[in-house]
Amino acid sequence: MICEIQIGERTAKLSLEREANGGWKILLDGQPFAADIAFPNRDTLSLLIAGRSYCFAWARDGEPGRTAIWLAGGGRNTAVEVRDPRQARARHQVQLSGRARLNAPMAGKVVKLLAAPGALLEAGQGVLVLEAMKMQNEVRSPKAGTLLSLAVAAGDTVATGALLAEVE
Amino acid sequence: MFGKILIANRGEIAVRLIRACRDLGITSVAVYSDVDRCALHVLQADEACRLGASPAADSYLNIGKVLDAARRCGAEAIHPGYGFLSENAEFAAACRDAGLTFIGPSPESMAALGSKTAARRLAKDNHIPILEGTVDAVTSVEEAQKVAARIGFPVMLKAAAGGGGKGMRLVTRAADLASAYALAGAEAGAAFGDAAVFLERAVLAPRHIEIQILGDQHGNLLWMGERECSVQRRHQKVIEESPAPRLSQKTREAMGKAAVAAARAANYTNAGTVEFLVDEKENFYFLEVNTRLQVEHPVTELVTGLDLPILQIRVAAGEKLPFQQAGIAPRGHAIECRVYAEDPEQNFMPSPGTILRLRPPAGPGVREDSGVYEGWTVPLEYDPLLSKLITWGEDRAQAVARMRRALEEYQLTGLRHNLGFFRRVFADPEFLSGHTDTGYVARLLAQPMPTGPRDAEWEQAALAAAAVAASASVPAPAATTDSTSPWQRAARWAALQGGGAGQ
Repeated sequence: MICEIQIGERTAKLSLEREANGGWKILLDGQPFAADIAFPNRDTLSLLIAGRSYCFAWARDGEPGRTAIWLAGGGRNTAVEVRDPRQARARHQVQLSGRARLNAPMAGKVVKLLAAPGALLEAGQGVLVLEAMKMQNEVRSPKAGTLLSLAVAAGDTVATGALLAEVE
Repeated sequence: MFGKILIANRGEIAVRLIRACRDLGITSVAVYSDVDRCALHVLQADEACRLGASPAADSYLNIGKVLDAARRCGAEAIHPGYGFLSENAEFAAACRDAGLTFIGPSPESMAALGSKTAARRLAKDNHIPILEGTVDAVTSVEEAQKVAARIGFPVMLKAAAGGGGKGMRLVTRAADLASAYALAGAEAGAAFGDAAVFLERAVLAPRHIEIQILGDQHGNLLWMGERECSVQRRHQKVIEESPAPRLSQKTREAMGKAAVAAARAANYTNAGTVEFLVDEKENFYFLEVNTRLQVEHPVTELVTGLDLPILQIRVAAGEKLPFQQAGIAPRGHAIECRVYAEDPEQNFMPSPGTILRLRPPAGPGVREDSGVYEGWTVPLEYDPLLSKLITWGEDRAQAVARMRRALEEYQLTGLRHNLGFFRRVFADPEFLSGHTDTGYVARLLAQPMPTGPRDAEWEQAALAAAAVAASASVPAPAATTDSTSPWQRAARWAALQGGGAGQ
């Protein structure tokens, strides 16, 4: 298996091969990566790397074709996206166009729209108010431009990451 | 003593109160909204009663439905927890009218202290220092502008009915006042059913220190040490500790006496908390009284050795406090972290979701008051508090060391949360020195995230772990050949008994 994994700002390329003895042969960005990997149970991964012990509680998440792995261990918690390199290229091309997409930073309810399609926005200007867990938060435009479209109406409930609006 | 108590709350505090009932041999009744049918408090209580639909107004904030549930289950008393109806004098009065004991102060005391504006008036009348501002709520943007112009910016807008930072906005210039006033009012209305806000001079970067009080119905009113609650984000506490670092015994005692004086002026009974702002010269200003149990009550419990919910239930049942002021002798140091489903990288925005893995820490000096479990989906509708992690030590250094250990052990994933933020705080020299004020979190986040060689190593381990996890070839537990399988053991036992596995 070959995959690209995004963790924070970093994107790494991993190649993974199962060995005859049950171990894994791992190439991390082309370099061999030695790790003794075991599953103490279905939800836990133990890695011994150069004598250091790492233990992760893990879970799979995400949609078909887009796997996210949640990992908690060593006091840290992270969700990494594991993807096929071909899909990664398609994603990159979308980001190259001049449009900025406003996605919901959290799941919640749209309580108010602050701008209509066609409106000229300053960078940081509020586009709508999103309420979650009793807190009202303004979702602001990341750049100056024209509000191309609104994907939601007041009263809509949105999931984390849902498209709210586009600015060009 | 009561035979059955209805707990008019949800989440970790409902679970905490169920435990107190169980310790006292009292039957506990949980209430729930539709989205909370499988919430931990429902699973743990002796009995459970449905309130209604998920919005708080149709369930936990609905006085009629809560009282109806109490009637249906035959409860003699209601514990309101914190938030929701806990500081609602009308609810306390309705309980009394229905012949139920409200575990908290009388509706009259709540009215005198419960709203921040009424409490400001009472403090002023009793010569307890308060910050300059409006004593009553402001009724229009124009009035707010006028008062702000008189006392000068920055000013703080606060919900009169508020608590927990909701309906609260810092305003640094006149141009922002109108929108802040509207947002604070809307938030206050949604959270407390009362949109009234008042305005006061904002002290930038003060310390926030509060005094725990407890009174019985026989005239005994005591204070039980203080809690330092300066580490806040969005005006809401995230770390609390007792005793407050760097507070002189003289100031501590003066604050304790002021807290008791405010409570006595309101004929206060049961548990409450008097909150103060403290400046760098240890001048203290009365802020408000929380006429209920606080989220952070465990730090007081760990240093005093007392069980506050049990004492609340006992005094509500008419018992005398079993000790005097001199009997309260705090020992050691306790610190609490509020574990929230929120994203520290996105300005601590709520981040609801499903808890996919949860392995809480344990060991000496560690206590966890949790309201969730693995597989639980944190609902959108309510406060995103998941649990409270509390450590105790002989001194602050040991409490801190134990907290660092607990944070390292804690495995919680499937949603964004703030445990990583706490790891950063507990490694930060400013926090470790005890020099925190309410501006601390903003200062910390303004610094670049410190990284060490361990972080890069961890990242590599995580990358390898993610790749292995994502590859479908996860070995299934080898149940058929596992010699520890109970079926295998049963067969072997049968063979040893002479029955023979083949029969």
